[in-house]
Amino acid sequence: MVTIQSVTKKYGNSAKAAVENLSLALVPGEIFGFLGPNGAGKSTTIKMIVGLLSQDTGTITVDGHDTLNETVLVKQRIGYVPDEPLFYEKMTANEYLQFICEIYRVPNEARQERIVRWAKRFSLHGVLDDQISSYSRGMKQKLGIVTALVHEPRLLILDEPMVGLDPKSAFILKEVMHEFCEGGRSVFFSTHVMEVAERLCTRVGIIMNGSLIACDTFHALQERSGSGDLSLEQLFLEMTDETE
Amino acid sequence: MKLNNIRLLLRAAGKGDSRWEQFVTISLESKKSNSRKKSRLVIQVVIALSILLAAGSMAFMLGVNYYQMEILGSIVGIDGFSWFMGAVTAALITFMFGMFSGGSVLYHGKDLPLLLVLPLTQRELLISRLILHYKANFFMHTILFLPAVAVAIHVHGISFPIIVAALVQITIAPFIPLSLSLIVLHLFVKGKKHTRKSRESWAIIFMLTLLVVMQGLASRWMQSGMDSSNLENFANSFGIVLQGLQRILLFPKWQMSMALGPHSFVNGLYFLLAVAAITIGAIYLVATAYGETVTRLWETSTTVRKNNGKSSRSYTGHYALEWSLVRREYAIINEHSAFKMELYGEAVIPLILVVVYAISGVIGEFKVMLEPVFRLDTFPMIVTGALLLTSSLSMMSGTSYSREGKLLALSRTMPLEGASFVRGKMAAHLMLFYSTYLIFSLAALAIFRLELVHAVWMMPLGFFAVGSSACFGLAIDGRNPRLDWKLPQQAVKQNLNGLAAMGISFANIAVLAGLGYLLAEPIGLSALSSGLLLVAPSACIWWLSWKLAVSGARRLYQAQ
Ligand SMILES: Nc1ncnc2c1ncn2[C@@H]1O[C@H](COP(=O)(O)OP(=O)(O)OP(=O)(O)O)[C@@H](O)[C@H]1O
Ligand SMILES: [Mg+2]
Repeated sequence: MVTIQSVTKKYGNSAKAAVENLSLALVPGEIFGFLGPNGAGKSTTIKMIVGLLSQDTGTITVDGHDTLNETVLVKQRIGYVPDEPLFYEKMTANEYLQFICEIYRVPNEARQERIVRWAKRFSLHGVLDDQISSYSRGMKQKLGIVTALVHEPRLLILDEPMVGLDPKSAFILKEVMHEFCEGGRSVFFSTHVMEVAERLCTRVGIIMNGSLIACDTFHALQERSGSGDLSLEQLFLEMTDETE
Repeated sequence: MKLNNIRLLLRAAGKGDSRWEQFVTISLESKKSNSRKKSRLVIQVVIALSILLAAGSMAFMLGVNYYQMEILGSIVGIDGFSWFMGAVTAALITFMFGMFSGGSVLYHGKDLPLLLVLPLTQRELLISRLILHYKANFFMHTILFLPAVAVAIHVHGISFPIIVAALVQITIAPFIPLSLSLIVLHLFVKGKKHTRKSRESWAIIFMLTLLVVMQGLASRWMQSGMDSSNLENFANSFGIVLQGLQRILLFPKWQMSMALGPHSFVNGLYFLLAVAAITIGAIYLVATAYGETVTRLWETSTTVRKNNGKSSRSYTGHYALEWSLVRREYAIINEHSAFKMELYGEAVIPLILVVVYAISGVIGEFKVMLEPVFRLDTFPMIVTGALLLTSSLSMMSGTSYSREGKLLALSRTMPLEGASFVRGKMAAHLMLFYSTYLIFSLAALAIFRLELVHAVWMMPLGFFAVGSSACFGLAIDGRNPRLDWKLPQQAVKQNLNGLAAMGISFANIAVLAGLGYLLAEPIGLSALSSGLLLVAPSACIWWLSWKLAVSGARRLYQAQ
């Protein structure tokens, strides 16, 4: 689904690479959780997959399409929730979603049904005709998620999607991510909420200082650490501990 | 109050904002590839030249105007009337822009919520904002006034009072219109039912009235000036008007006398005292409730609802992809009144003027005045050239990517080719400016009773010229868009890309005009055949500009 091969990325003329020699492969039908301390390189990796940033070396493909050379095909397949919600704030949510449907060429007949369905799912139905500028942080986050889902992508990429969500919405999002994978589609998301990662993910990857230090199922990680009953939180803290 | 805090606030607000810094970034951009060095140099020179051209031609036009005023003044025995007019013009226009920049700098800056939580006193914040307000308008005030200094020196020779007065004028005179703008803004903001929209529409109405009145007066004067048989009469009536103006408008009168006497020193003193009084008064007024006002505005500004309570509209409606992009373009423009004002103003003000002229009968008088030109064989081409100029000189595309600001990241995740974006943006541009061109040219055909067959070349020529103005603008803005603005003005009015785009559009029209002249004069073709022949080169230029715009867009939208 997604393959990342020895990818390195430096910002501008900074000496240190934000992502260094990263290799990863995402198989169809899996939920991949991407963990790591602040500044580890999660958002950078995600932005390279969605085509906002270009890697200095290495290749990234989505569904077999190269992210640098076949950008349109790649973007067409991805639903992306950015780390910071961005909208044309003077549009109403409905106008905005219509616009997104048009850009992603959602068939005309399907639009209304999809917009309403996803908006209802995230309890935004009542405010679809409000200007986005009047939305709260969490409402904007949910609108971002609806935006990513409404064009039915093959791959869902979310950068810290739980930020600002109320418990019910967070629960629904987890449900949605599960359903999304059932048809062989995949989810790639970064998070700082270990419980979510532990319960939801098929596999997790832990990145630190730009390099992948672990990438496996939760149970495999537990086994490798030697003690079978550590939580992901404990594992994470242990692995990313730099004091020694 | 800590001076250091104010200094810090100014530094933070000014980061990367100056024209110079922007120019340097344009020049240093794409440092990586050495192969592009040459083309970079060329682009740098072209941009610098076109900016000089745009600013220079504006200053020159003003200078000519002021000079005429000086001559008229001297006929009725007033020395230095150019100074008077320069002061009035600069003050009026600065006041108007001050209404916008003051509103956004003082009350609606995007960085205000950030600053409001910092441990600063109200006064520190206010002072830093006032300085920014001054800084934002200083440059334009100077450009508007300097030609008057040039005229005064040209006519009266250089002297000590003139130099001192010019310095005082440039640094201190902006306080008058800016203080007035503060007072008016304060009254608006204090008003119970204040909305940003209402305030800005008032400013627009004020500006339009001003424009119409000034144009109306100018054309009246010009027209009576043309009629040399009763110059005497004219001079007399004009003299009465001038003396009347001088009695009412004390500030410019003092300013004028400060430079050119009599009693330079006394008048200068009057002027300085009066400026001090009005400035202190305005600041005092604003300071009384600055903090509360800003907080209150922030509380109320984000709860706008568009269709409150109305049930959901039908979700149907199929649009072509480009049409969606066009609508998005307008959604972005409508997001900020600074954008609306700039772009719709560019498109619509000439239209309003024509309507006003038509109603007031000035057009008829113009026709009489233009009689000699009117009979020229090349007249249709001259008219078209003028129309093309009004329709091509705009900031619309030259700031199009910049206007998206942070939201450009959103466009960059969309599954579209660069060419689609360019098509959408060009269509948006044509919608606003080609449509007005069409209206103008039809009106011109009717008013000057030209043969309708000229429309056959005027329409396509306009399409390609306006289209290339759009594409050149996109090509320039695509190279180095200004995305990190905090005040919307920084994306349009203070955006070098827009100015450069206007310069290139100007050059484009100049090239076409030159070609047209060659065809019509030395070669001696009729206006119709010259016009028809011009369509081909204009199409070629458009094609070139299209290629540039698309390659710029491709680079902008690819991963970085
Ligand atoms: N625009 C930028 N310019 C320069 N350096 C950047 C930029 N964005 C990120 N970096 C650097 O790249 C590294 C990785 O940043 P990234 O945003 O990918 O971290 P992250 O894992 O998403 O962190 P967080 O958990 O805080 O979101 C950091 O060291 C950061 O300083
Ligand atoms: Mg991040």
